[in-house]
Amino acid sequence: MTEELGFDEFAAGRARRLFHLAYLMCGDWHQAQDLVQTALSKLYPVWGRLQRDGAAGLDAYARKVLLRCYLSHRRLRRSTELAVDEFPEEPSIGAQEGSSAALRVTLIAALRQLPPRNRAVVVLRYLEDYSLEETAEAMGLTVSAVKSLNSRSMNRLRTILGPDRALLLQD
Amino acid sequence: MDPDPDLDLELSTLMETSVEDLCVPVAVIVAESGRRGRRRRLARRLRIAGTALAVAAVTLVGADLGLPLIEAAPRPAVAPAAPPTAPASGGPSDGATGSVGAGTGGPLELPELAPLGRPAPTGKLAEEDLEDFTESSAMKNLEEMSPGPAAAIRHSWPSFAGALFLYRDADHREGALELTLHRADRPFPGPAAPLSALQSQFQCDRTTPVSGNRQRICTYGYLPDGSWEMVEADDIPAYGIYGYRVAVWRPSGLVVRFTEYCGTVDNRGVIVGNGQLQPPIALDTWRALAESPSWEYYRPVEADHS
Repeated sequence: MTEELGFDEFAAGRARRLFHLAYLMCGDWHQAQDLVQTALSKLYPVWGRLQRDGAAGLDAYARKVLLRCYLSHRRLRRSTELAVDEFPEEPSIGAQEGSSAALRVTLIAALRQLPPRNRAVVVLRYLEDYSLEETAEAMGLTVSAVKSLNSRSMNRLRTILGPDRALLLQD
Repeated sequence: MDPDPDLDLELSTLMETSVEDLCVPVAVIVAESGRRGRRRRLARRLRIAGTALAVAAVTLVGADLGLPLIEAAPRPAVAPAAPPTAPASGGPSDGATGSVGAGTGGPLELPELAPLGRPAPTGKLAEEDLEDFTESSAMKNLEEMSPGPAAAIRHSWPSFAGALFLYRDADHREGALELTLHRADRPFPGPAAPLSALQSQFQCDRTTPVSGNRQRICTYGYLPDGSWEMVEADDIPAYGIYGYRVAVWRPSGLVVRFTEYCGTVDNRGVIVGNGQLQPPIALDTWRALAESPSWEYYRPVEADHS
């Protein structure tokens, strides 16, 4: 990546990966799109300075901004999930859509049962392969706090995914 | 010890697999990010820009040049100086329709812009409107949109200067005019400089596709006095879309930039109020203002920037 790399090129090159990250954290396609757009738009006004400071950290910076956007959004009253008696209808998964869609639905449903920060830790650790230290730095937490969040989240996921795990892993 | 390490080992794969065929609207994200980013940049500049001096500057320069603020002004006559040659890569920097690009080689003057597809300015920005752009009202606007002390902004002159004033037509539709002056962070490139060097201070945005009756113009080149100019216009007869930008980088290092927006935003970058459908000031008028040598009066001294 050269210093002359334009914002559009950067955004086009990273949008897909940032979208995956946002989607697994928030579990909603439209919200993920909004989060990515918001995060990238925050880079736009300071793009020149970011490039002068060095392009090497742009990816990590973009992910950090996205993470902050997600956590900030979760704190807003309007983002509070509404408790209902019954689950809303989920989109049906056609056979032609393959096992990844079924896996996605199962995984999102499981992640949704975690608190936002726990979700963020799990996604950063296992989708982005962040180390404990990198996750702590991105989230502004201590390493021990991240370790604790990760451990609790994994225990919860084991419980939630328990009956489905064997099938998921077989696929 | 982890009682069940399998999930640890498999979760990465599960996550990767689950999103691998997820449909991602990359083009939409890029376009929208750029649009929101420009709004954020506008709001950001609002927070750091002083208003009053630039408004006065616009008025003074406009009066000095005898420019009409309502009708499109004629292009100023250009003395046949010996201009530098254009960069080899000069020309439109994007695929905009209606573009008029600078030629390559030889003395160069920016060509006249192709007429845009919108009616001429309607004269909504009349004298009484300009009277609203007094220093106190402009600073009040600035303080309303930014909690920072507006007085502190004036200390940034003259190494950086900016201004934005809001206007409102009879239908209470709002628009914004932005002016920034700053000293370039690098010496003015010579006449043989590559385009990328000249675009280090400003370049056309390229985030939105063009379709229908929308027109985009992106043109740039050397002026006869050696300055580098870029003119960009995104023209569509719809609220909240059009935008003009004229930027000039002078050999002295001064960068003058006019931008006209068809709406206003709050300090979070969210569009507020009703946007303008037509700009009150013609693009040619902005060009004439930006190209005026009178701006050299505001050239920052070396000591202020270093």
